[in-house]
Amino acid sequence: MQPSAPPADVLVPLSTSAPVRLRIPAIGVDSALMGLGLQADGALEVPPEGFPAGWYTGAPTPGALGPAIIAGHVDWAGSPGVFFSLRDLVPGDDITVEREDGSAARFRVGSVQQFPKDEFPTDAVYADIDHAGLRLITCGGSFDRDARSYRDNIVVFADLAGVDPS
Amino acid sequence: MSVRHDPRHRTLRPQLRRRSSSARYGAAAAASVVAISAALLASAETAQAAALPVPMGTAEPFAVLGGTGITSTGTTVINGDIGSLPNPTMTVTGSVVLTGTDHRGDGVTATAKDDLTAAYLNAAGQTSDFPILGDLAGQTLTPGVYTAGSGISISGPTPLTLNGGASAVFVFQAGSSLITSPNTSVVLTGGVTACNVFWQVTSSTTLGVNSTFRGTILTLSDSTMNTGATLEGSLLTRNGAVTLDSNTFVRPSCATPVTGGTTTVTATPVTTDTGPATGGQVRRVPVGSVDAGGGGTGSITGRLWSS
Repeated sequence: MQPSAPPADVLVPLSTSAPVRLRIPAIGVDSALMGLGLQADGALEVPPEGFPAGWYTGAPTPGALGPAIIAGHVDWAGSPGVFFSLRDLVPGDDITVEREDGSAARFRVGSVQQFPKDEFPTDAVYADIDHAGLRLITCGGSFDRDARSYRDNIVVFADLAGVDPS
Repeated sequence: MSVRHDPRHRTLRPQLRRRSSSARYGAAAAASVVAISAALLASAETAQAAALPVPMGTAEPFAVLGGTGITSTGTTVINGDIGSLPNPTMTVTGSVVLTGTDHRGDGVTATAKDDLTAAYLNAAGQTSDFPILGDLAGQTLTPGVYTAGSGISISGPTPLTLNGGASAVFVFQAGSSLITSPNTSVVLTGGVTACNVFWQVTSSTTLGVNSTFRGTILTLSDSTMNTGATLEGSLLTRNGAVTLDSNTFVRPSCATPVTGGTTTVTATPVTTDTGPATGGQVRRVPVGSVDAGGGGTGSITGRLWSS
Protein backbone atom coordinates (compact mmCIF):
# COMPACT_ATOMS: atom_id res chain seq x y z
CA MET A 1 0.00 0.00 0.00
CA GLN A 2 1.36 3.37 -0.98
CA PRO A 3 1.94 5.81 1.85
CA SER A 4 -0.47 8.72 1.76
CA ALA A 5 1.77 11.26 3.49
CA PRO A 6 4.64 13.11 1.83
CA PRO A 7 8.01 11.30 2.12
CA ALA A 8 10.31 12.07 5.04
CA ASP A 9 12.57 14.24 2.90
CA VAL A 10 9.91 16.88 2.49
CA LEU A 11 9.77 18.21 -1.04
CA VAL A 12 10.40 21.91 -1.26
CA PRO A 13 7.32 23.56 -2.77
CA LEU A 14 7.68 25.19 -6.13
CA SER A 15 7.35 28.87 -6.92
CA THR A 16 4.06 30.36 -7.99
CA SER A 17 3.24 29.63 -11.62
CA ALA A 18 -0.18 29.30 -13.21
CA PRO A 19 -1.24 25.79 -14.21
CA VAL A 20 -1.84 25.21 -17.90
CA ARG A 21 -2.63 21.51 -18.24
CA LEU A 22 -3.81 18.61 -16.09
CA ARG A 23 -2.94 15.00 -16.86
CA ILE A 24 -4.20 11.97 -14.96
CA PRO A 25 -3.07 8.91 -16.94
CA ALA A 26 -4.85 6.36 -14.75
CA ILE A 27 -8.25 7.72 -15.82
CA GLY A 28 -7.38 9.21 -19.19
CA VAL A 29 -7.69 12.86 -18.20
CA ASP A 30 -5.74 15.34 -20.33
CA SER A 31 -7.29 18.75 -19.92
CA ALA A 32 -6.55 22.41 -20.31
CA LEU A 33 -7.32 24.49 -17.23
CA MET A 34 -9.47 27.59 -17.01
CA GLY A 35 -9.39 29.98 -14.07
CA LEU A 36 -12.25 29.83 -11.56
CA GLY A 37 -13.24 32.51 -9.10
CA LEU A 38 -16.07 32.82 -6.63
CA GLN A 39 -19.73 33.29 -7.40
CA ALA A 40 -21.64 36.18 -5.89
CA ASP A 41 -22.79 33.97 -3.00
CA GLY A 42 -19.21 32.94 -2.20
CA ALA A 43 -19.40 29.45 -3.66
CA LEU A 44 -16.65 28.20 -5.93
CA GLU A 45 -17.25 28.90 -9.61
CA VAL A 46 -17.38 25.91 -11.88
CA PRO A 47 -16.60 25.63 -15.59
CA PRO A 48 -19.55 26.51 -17.83
CA GLU A 49 -19.55 23.10 -19.55
CA GLY A 50 -18.34 19.53 -19.08
CA PHE A 51 -14.85 20.38 -20.33
CA PRO A 52 -12.25 21.69 -19.46
CA ALA A 53 -11.40 21.50 -15.77
CA GLY A 54 -10.67 24.69 -13.88
CA TRP A 55 -8.36 25.84 -11.08
CA TYR A 56 -9.38 28.15 -8.26
CA THR A 57 -7.34 31.30 -8.72
CA GLY A 58 -7.83 32.31 -5.09
CA ALA A 59 -5.83 29.29 -3.91
CA PRO A 60 -2.12 28.53 -4.38
CA THR A 61 -0.99 27.49 -7.84
CA PRO A 62 -0.47 23.72 -8.03
CA GLY A 63 3.05 22.95 -6.83
CA ALA A 64 3.33 25.97 -4.55
CA LEU A 65 2.89 25.79 -0.79
CA GLY A 66 -0.69 25.14 0.29
CA PRO A 67 -3.83 23.48 -1.06
CA ALA A 68 -4.29 23.93 -4.81
CA ILE A 69 -7.88 23.43 -5.97
CA ILE A 70 -9.03 22.00 -9.31
CA ALA A 71 -12.72 21.39 -10.04
CA GLY A 72 -14.43 19.75 -12.99
CA HIS A 73 -17.81 18.36 -13.94
CA VAL A 74 -18.63 14.69 -13.56
CA ASP A 75 -21.13 15.07 -16.37
CA TRP A 76 -22.84 17.76 -18.35
CA ALA A 77 -26.11 17.72 -20.26
CA GLY A 78 -26.16 13.97 -20.43
CA SER A 79 -22.56 13.36 -21.44
CA PRO A 80 -19.46 12.54 -19.38
CA GLY A 81 -17.54 15.52 -18.11
CA VAL A 82 -13.82 15.91 -17.62
CA PHE A 83 -13.97 14.30 -14.16
CA PHE A 84 -16.40 11.51 -15.00
CA SER A 85 -13.93 8.88 -13.79
CA LEU A 86 -12.41 10.79 -10.90
CA ARG A 87 -13.99 8.38 -8.45
CA ASP A 88 -11.90 5.55 -9.94
CA LEU A 89 -8.58 6.99 -8.72
CA VAL A 90 -6.81 5.08 -5.96
CA PRO A 91 -4.06 6.10 -3.52
CA GLY A 92 -0.71 6.16 -5.31
CA ASP A 93 -2.04 7.26 -8.70
CA ASP A 94 -0.13 10.08 -10.33
CA ILE A 95 -1.49 13.50 -11.23
CA THR A 96 0.64 15.87 -13.31
CA VAL A 97 0.06 19.60 -13.57
CA GLU A 98 2.02 21.41 -16.25
CA ARG A 99 2.82 24.98 -15.30
CA GLU A 100 3.29 28.19 -17.22
CA ASP A 101 7.00 28.29 -16.35
CA GLY A 102 7.52 25.02 -18.19
CA SER A 103 7.88 22.78 -15.16
CA ALA A 104 5.50 19.96 -14.32
CA ALA A 105 4.41 19.24 -10.76
CA ARG A 106 3.69 15.60 -10.08
CA PHE A 107 1.28 14.77 -7.27
CA ARG A 108 0.49 11.44 -5.70
CA VAL A 109 -3.09 10.57 -4.70
CA GLY A 110 -3.40 10.14 -0.97
CA SER A 111 -7.13 9.48 -0.68
CA VAL A 112 -10.39 9.65 -2.61
CA GLN A 113 -13.34 10.62 -0.45
CA GLN A 114 -17.04 11.30 -0.85
CA PHE A 115 -19.01 13.78 1.23
CA PRO A 116 -22.63 14.89 1.28
CA LYS A 117 -22.68 18.45 -0.01
CA ASP A 118 -24.23 19.74 3.17
CA GLU A 119 -21.26 18.26 5.06
CA PHE A 120 -18.59 19.60 2.74
CA PRO A 121 -15.24 19.44 4.59
CA THR A 122 -14.19 23.05 4.14
CA ASP A 123 -11.31 22.74 6.60
CA ALA A 124 -9.85 19.59 5.09
CA VAL A 125 -10.03 21.02 1.59
CA TYR A 126 -9.02 24.66 2.06
CA ALA A 127 -7.07 24.98 5.33
CA ASP A 128 -3.35 25.76 5.35
CA ILE A 129 -0.97 22.82 5.04
CA ASP A 130 2.79 22.51 5.43
CA HIS A 131 3.51 21.25 1.93
CA ALA A 132 2.28 21.57 -1.65
CA GLY A 133 -1.05 19.79 -1.93
CA LEU A 134 -3.80 19.38 -4.51
CA ARG A 135 -7.54 18.75 -4.22
CA LEU A 136 -9.57 17.63 -7.23
CA ILE A 137 -13.29 18.16 -6.76
CA THR A 138 -16.30 16.86 -8.67
CA CYS A 139 -19.82 15.65 -7.94
CA GLY A 140 -21.06 12.21 -7.09
CA GLY A 141 -23.67 10.22 -5.28
CA SER A 142 -27.30 10.24 -6.31
CA PHE A 143 -28.84 12.97 -8.44
CA ASP A 144 -31.41 15.17 -6.75
CA ARG A 145 -33.85 15.99 -9.56
CA ASP A 146 -35.51 18.81 -7.65
CA ALA A 147 -32.24 20.53 -6.88
CA ARG A 148 -30.87 19.54 -10.28
CA SER A 149 -27.56 18.58 -8.79
CA TYR A 150 -25.75 15.66 -7.28
CA ARG A 151 -26.02 15.14 -3.55
CA ASP A 152 -22.33 14.55 -2.87
CA ASN A 153 -18.90 15.90 -3.70
CA ILE A 154 -15.98 13.63 -4.52
CA VAL A 155 -12.64 15.02 -3.38
CA VAL A 156 -9.27 13.58 -4.32
CA PHE A 157 -6.53 14.63 -1.89
CA ALA A 158 -3.02 14.55 -3.36
CA ASP A 159 0.42 15.79 -2.35
CA LEU A 160 3.45 16.96 -4.33
CA ALA A 161 5.69 13.96 -5.02
CA GLY A 162 8.13 15.27 -7.59
CA VAL A 163 8.94 17.81 -10.25
CA ASP A 164 9.51 17.06 -13.89
CA PRO A 165 11.64 19.70 -15.57
CA SER A 166 10.41 21.27 -18.78
CA MET B 1 -38.98 14.14 -20.22
CA SER B 2 -37.81 16.87 -22.54
CA VAL B 3 -35.71 16.24 -25.58
CA ARG B 4 -32.10 17.13 -25.01
CA HIS B 5 -30.82 19.84 -27.34
CA ASP B 6 -27.22 20.56 -28.16
CA PRO B 7 -27.16 24.32 -28.68
CA ARG B 8 -23.99 24.12 -30.74
CA HIS B 9 -25.81 22.19 -33.45
CA ARG B 10 -28.94 24.29 -33.18
CA THR B 11 -27.26 27.57 -34.02
CA LEU B 12 -26.40 26.43 -37.53
CA ARG B 13 -29.82 25.39 -38.70
CA PRO B 14 -31.75 28.65 -38.36
CA GLN B 15 -29.03 30.43 -40.31
CA LEU B 16 -29.23 27.91 -43.10
CA ARG B 17 -32.99 28.21 -43.17
CA ARG B 18 -32.82 31.95 -43.24
CA ARG B 19 -30.37 32.07 -46.10
CA SER B 20 -32.54 29.75 -48.13
CA SER B 21 -35.73 31.66 -47.39
CA SER B 22 -34.06 34.94 -48.28
CA ALA B 23 -32.76 33.40 -51.48
CA ARG B 24 -36.23 32.23 -52.45
CA TYR B 25 -37.55 35.71 -51.83
CA GLY B 26 -34.54 37.48 -53.34
CA ALA B 27 -35.92 38.12 -56.80
CA ALA B 28 -39.32 39.21 -55.55
CA ALA B 29 -37.70 41.50 -53.01
CA ALA B 30 -35.62 43.19 -55.68
CA ALA B 31 -38.73 43.70 -57.78
CA SER B 32 -40.59 45.23 -54.83
CA VAL B 33 -37.76 47.63 -54.10
CA VAL B 34 -37.69 48.73 -57.71
CA ALA B 35 -41.48 49.19 -57.70
CA ILE B 36 -41.49 51.20 -54.48
CA SER B 37 -38.30 53.05 -54.99
CA ALA B 38 -38.25 55.21 -51.88
CA ALA B 39 -39.56 52.61 -49.47
CA LEU B 40 -37.29 50.72 -47.18
CA LEU B 41 -39.71 47.85 -46.86
CA ALA B 42 -41.80 45.92 -49.32
CA SER B 43 -45.45 46.87 -49.30
CA ALA B 44 -47.73 44.78 -47.14
CA GLU B 45 -50.80 45.46 -49.24
CA THR B 46 -50.53 42.60 -51.69
CA ALA B 47 -48.21 40.17 -49.93
CA GLN B 48 -49.48 37.12 -48.08
CA ALA B 49 -49.21 37.72 -44.33
CA ALA B 50 -48.13 34.37 -42.97
CA ALA B 51 -46.93 34.93 -39.41
CA LEU B 52 -48.11 32.31 -36.96
CA PRO B 53 -48.14 32.71 -33.18
CA VAL B 54 -44.98 31.19 -31.79
CA PRO B 55 -45.86 28.52 -29.22
CA MET B 56 -44.07 29.40 -26.01
CA GLY B 57 -45.07 26.38 -23.92
CA THR B 58 -43.70 26.51 -20.39
CA ALA B 59 -41.60 29.57 -21.25
CA GLU B 60 -44.75 31.71 -21.40
CA PRO B 61 -44.83 32.77 -17.73
CA PHE B 62 -41.23 33.99 -17.84
CA ALA B 63 -40.31 37.66 -18.14
CA VAL B 64 -36.61 36.86 -18.09
CA LEU B 65 -34.75 33.71 -19.06
CA GLY B 66 -30.99 33.48 -19.22
CA GLY B 67 -28.25 31.00 -19.93
CA THR B 68 -25.11 32.20 -18.21
CA GLY B 69 -26.77 34.26 -15.50
CA ILE B 70 -28.55 37.51 -14.79
CA THR B 71 -26.98 40.80 -13.68
CA SER B 72 -28.96 43.82 -12.56
CA THR B 73 -27.93 47.27 -11.36
CA GLY B 74 -30.15 50.03 -10.05
CA THR B 75 -33.80 49.25 -9.30
CA THR B 76 -35.29 46.82 -11.78
CA VAL B 77 -38.96 45.90 -11.68
CA ILE B 78 -39.91 42.55 -13.19
CA ASN B 79 -43.43 41.23 -13.67
CA GLY B 80 -43.26 37.59 -14.61
CA ASP B 81 -41.09 34.65 -13.68
CA ILE B 82 -37.32 34.60 -13.93
CA GLY B 83 -34.89 31.78 -14.54
CA SER B 84 -31.39 31.02 -15.75
CA LEU B 85 -29.66 27.79 -16.70
CA PRO B 86 -27.00 26.41 -16.79
CA ASN B 87 -25.67 29.26 -14.66
CA PRO B 88 -28.37 30.33 -12.20
CA THR B 89 -26.34 33.15 -10.69
CA MET B 90 -28.11 36.48 -10.35
CA THR B 91 -25.89 39.36 -9.32
CA VAL B 92 -27.84 42.31 -8.01
CA THR B 93 -26.33 45.70 -7.30
CA GLY B 94 -29.30 47.72 -6.10
CA SER B 95 -32.56 45.80 -6.09
CA VAL B 96 -34.82 43.66 -8.21
CA VAL B 97 -38.52 43.93 -7.38
CA LEU B 98 -39.92 40.68 -8.67
CA THR B 99 -43.64 39.99 -8.99
CA GLY B 100 -43.46 36.41 -10.08
CA THR B 101 -41.50 33.33 -9.18
CA ASP B 102 -37.74 32.99 -9.13
CA HIS B 103 -37.11 29.67 -10.85
CA ARG B 104 -33.38 30.07 -11.31
CA GLY B 105 -31.64 26.73 -11.70
CA ASP B 106 -34.72 24.58 -11.05
CA GLY B 107 -36.66 22.06 -13.12
CA VAL B 108 -39.25 24.63 -14.22
CA THR B 109 -36.50 26.71 -15.77
CA ALA B 110 -35.04 23.60 -17.39
CA THR B 111 -38.22 22.76 -19.26
CA ALA B 112 -38.83 26.43 -20.03
CA LYS B 113 -35.38 26.64 -21.63
CA ASP B 114 -36.20 23.62 -23.77
CA ASP B 115 -39.46 25.25 -24.83
CA LEU B 116 -37.57 28.48 -25.51
CA THR B 117 -35.31 26.58 -27.88
CA ALA B 118 -38.33 25.18 -29.66
CA ALA B 119 -39.94 28.62 -29.84
CA TYR B 120 -36.75 30.16 -31.19
CA LEU B 121 -36.56 27.55 -33.94
CA ASN B 122 -40.24 28.01 -34.73
CA ALA B 123 -39.78 31.76 -35.13
CA ALA B 124 -36.59 31.34 -37.15
CA GLY B 125 -38.20 28.81 -39.42
CA GLN B 126 -41.34 30.70 -40.37
CA THR B 127 -41.42 31.59 -44.04
CA SER B 128 -40.45 35.17 -44.66
CA ASP B 129 -43.04 37.64 -45.99
CA PHE B 130 -40.99 40.81 -46.18
CA PRO B 131 -37.28 41.61 -46.13
CA ILE B 132 -36.05 44.29 -43.75
CA LEU B 133 -33.72 46.49 -45.73
CA GLY B 134 -33.08 49.35 -43.33
CA ASP B 135 -33.72 50.93 -39.96
CA LEU B 136 -37.21 50.51 -38.53
CA ALA B 137 -37.65 53.89 -36.83
CA GLY B 138 -40.73 55.66 -38.10
CA GLN B 139 -42.04 52.65 -40.02
CA THR B 140 -45.63 51.41 -39.82
CA LEU B 141 -45.88 47.72 -40.45
CA THR B 142 -48.76 45.32 -40.97
CA PRO B 143 -48.77 41.69 -39.83
CA GLY B 144 -46.31 39.19 -41.23
CA VAL B 145 -42.87 37.68 -41.01
CA TYR B 146 -40.11 40.28 -41.44
CA THR B 147 -36.58 39.11 -42.13
CA ALA B 148 -33.26 40.94 -41.89
CA GLY B 149 -30.23 39.20 -43.32
CA SER B 150 -28.11 40.88 -40.69
CA GLY B 151 -29.20 43.17 -37.86
CA ILE B 152 -32.51 44.79 -36.95
CA SER B 153 -32.29 48.31 -35.59
CA ILE B 154 -34.45 51.15 -34.37
CA SER B 155 -32.18 54.16 -34.44
CA GLY B 156 -34.41 57.23 -34.29
CA PRO B 157 -37.01 58.67 -31.92
CA THR B 158 -40.01 58.24 -34.25
CA PRO B 159 -41.79 55.07 -33.10
CA LEU B 160 -41.94 51.82 -34.97
CA THR B 161 -45.68 51.21 -35.25
CA LEU B 162 -47.10 47.73 -35.59
CA ASN B 163 -50.67 47.99 -36.81
CA GLY B 164 -53.32 45.30 -37.09
CA GLY B 165 -56.21 43.61 -35.35
CA ALA B 166 -56.40 41.67 -32.12
CA SER B 167 -55.30 38.47 -33.85
CA ALA B 168 -52.49 40.07 -35.85
CA VAL B 169 -49.12 38.33 -35.51
CA PHE B 170 -45.69 39.80 -36.19
CA VAL B 171 -42.51 37.70 -36.36
CA PHE B 172 -39.19 39.50 -36.80
CA GLN B 173 -36.15 37.46 -37.79
CA ALA B 174 -32.72 39.02 -37.30
CA GLY B 175 -29.76 37.35 -38.96
CA SER B 176 -27.51 38.95 -36.40
CA SER B 177 -28.37 41.45 -33.67
CA LEU B 178 -31.34 43.47 -32.47
CA ILE B 179 -30.27 46.95 -31.37
CA THR B 180 -32.47 49.87 -30.37
CA SER B 181 -31.05 53.31 -29.70
CA PRO B 182 -31.81 55.52 -26.70
CA ASN B 183 -35.30 57.01 -26.50
CA THR B 184 -36.71 54.79 -29.24
CA SER B 185 -40.07 53.07 -28.99
CA VAL B 186 -42.37 50.43 -30.42
CA VAL B 187 -46.09 51.23 -30.54
CA LEU B 188 -48.91 48.75 -31.11
CA THR B 189 -52.07 50.08 -32.77
CA GLY B 190 -55.44 48.75 -33.91
CA GLY B 191 -55.65 45.99 -31.32
CA VAL B 192 -52.24 44.35 -31.76
CA THR B 193 -51.05 42.78 -28.51
CA ALA B 194 -47.49 42.28 -27.31
CA CYS B 195 -48.25 38.56 -26.92
CA ASN B 196 -48.39 38.29 -30.71
CA VAL B 197 -45.13 40.11 -31.46
CA PHE B 198 -42.00 37.95 -31.63
CA TRP B 199 -38.39 38.90 -32.20
CA GLN B 200 -35.96 36.12 -33.12
CA VAL B 201 -32.38 37.31 -32.72
CA THR B 202 -29.50 35.19 -33.98
CA SER B 203 -26.83 36.99 -32.00
CA SER B 204 -27.38 39.56 -29.23
CA THR B 205 -30.12 41.96 -28.19
CA THR B 206 -29.51 45.47 -26.89
CA LEU B 207 -32.34 47.80 -25.90
CA GLY B 208 -31.32 51.44 -25.64
CA VAL B 209 -31.38 53.83 -22.69
CA ASN B 210 -34.94 54.89 -21.80
CA SER B 211 -36.32 53.01 -24.79
CA THR B 212 -39.67 51.24 -24.88
CA PHE B 213 -39.95 47.88 -26.56
CA ARG B 214 -42.73 45.35 -26.91
CA GLY B 215 -43.03 41.66 -27.56
CA THR B 216 -41.31 38.39 -26.82
CA ILE B 217 -37.61 38.60 -27.57
CA LEU B 218 -35.95 35.27 -28.36
CA THR B 219 -32.21 35.88 -28.19
CA LEU B 220 -29.58 33.30 -28.98
CA SER B 221 -26.59 34.89 -27.23
CA ASP B 222 -26.59 37.89 -24.85
CA SER B 223 -29.45 40.23 -23.94
CA THR B 224 -28.83 43.68 -22.54
CA MET B 225 -31.28 46.34 -21.46
CA ASN B 226 -29.58 49.67 -20.93
CA THR B 227 -30.49 52.16 -18.21
CA GLY B 228 -34.19 52.85 -17.91
CA ALA B 229 -35.31 50.69 -20.82
CA THR B 230 -38.83 49.31 -20.55
CA LEU B 231 -40.09 46.08 -22.06
CA GLU B 232 -43.74 45.10 -22.38
CA GLY B 233 -43.21 41.38 -22.76
CA SER B 234 -40.34 38.99 -22.21
CA LEU B 235 -36.59 38.84 -22.64
CA LEU B 236 -35.69 35.20 -23.23
CA THR B 237 -32.06 34.36 -23.78
CA ARG B 238 -30.87 30.93 -24.78
CA ASN B 239 -27.11 30.77 -24.40
CA GLY B 240 -25.93 34.07 -23.02
CA ALA B 241 -26.23 36.43 -20.11
CA VAL B 242 -29.02 38.85 -19.29
CA THR B 243 -27.80 42.29 -18.21
CA LEU B 244 -30.28 44.72 -16.71
CA ASP B 245 -30.04 48.31 -15.46
CA SER B 246 -32.96 50.08 -13.81
CA ASN B 247 -35.43 48.45 -16.17
CA THR B 248 -39.16 47.79 -16.02
CA PHE B 249 -40.77 44.63 -17.34
CA VAL B 250 -44.49 45.11 -17.92
CA ARG B 251 -46.56 41.95 -18.19
CA PRO B 252 -48.87 42.29 -21.20
CA SER B 253 -52.56 42.04 -20.29
CA CYS B 254 -52.91 39.30 -22.91
CA ALA B 255 -50.40 37.12 -21.06
CA THR B 256 -51.29 34.64 -18.32
CA PRO B 257 -51.43 36.32 -14.93
CA VAL B 258 -48.34 36.23 -12.75
CA THR B 259 -48.35 33.72 -9.92
CA GLY B 260 -46.17 34.05 -6.90
CA GLY B 261 -45.99 37.13 -4.73
CA THR B 262 -43.72 40.13 -4.84
CA THR B 263 -40.22 39.80 -3.47
CA THR B 264 -37.35 42.22 -3.46
CA VAL B 265 -33.85 40.90 -4.13
CA THR B 266 -31.17 43.25 -2.89
CA ALA B 267 -27.47 43.21 -3.41
CA THR B 268 -25.79 40.03 -2.31
CA PRO B 269 -22.42 41.03 -0.95
CA VAL B 270 -19.54 38.79 -1.89
CA THR B 271 -18.71 37.00 1.33
CA THR B 272 -15.30 37.84 2.67
CA ASP B 273 -15.48 35.92 5.92
CA THR B 274 -16.26 32.51 4.58
CA GLY B 275 -15.36 29.83 7.02
CA PRO B 276 -12.39 28.90 9.14
CA ALA B 277 -9.44 31.18 9.55
CA THR B 278 -6.81 29.60 7.35
CA GLY B 279 -3.85 31.91 7.69
CA GLY B 280 -4.28 32.76 4.07
CA GLN B 281 -2.81 30.18 1.69
CA VAL B 282 -6.30 30.21 0.20
CA ARG B 283 -6.94 33.93 0.18
CA ARG B 284 -10.75 33.63 0.22
CA VAL B 285 -12.20 30.30 1.25
CA PRO B 286 -15.15 29.28 -0.94
CA VAL B 287 -18.46 28.78 0.83
CA GLY B 288 -20.00 25.34 0.93
CA SER B 289 -19.89 22.58 -1.64
CA VAL B 290 -19.04 22.54 -5.35
CA ASP B 291 -21.75 22.17 -7.99
CA ALA B 292 -19.78 20.19 -10.55
CA GLY B 293 -22.25 18.01 -12.34
CA GLY B 294 -25.64 17.74 -13.99
CA GLY B 295 -25.98 20.80 -16.12
CA GLY B 296 -28.21 21.02 -19.16
CA THR B 297 -30.97 18.51 -18.68
CA GLY B 298 -29.62 16.32 -15.96
CA SER B 299 -27.52 13.33 -15.11
CA ILE B 300 -26.34 10.41 -17.16
CA THR B 301 -27.22 7.88 -14.54
CA GLY B 302 -29.29 8.26 -11.46
CA ARG B 303 -26.53 7.23 -9.15
CA LEU B 304 -22.79 7.64 -9.27
CA TRP B 305 -20.61 5.87 -6.74
CA SER B 306 -21.79 5.57 -3.25
CA SER B 307 -19.43 4.08 -0.72
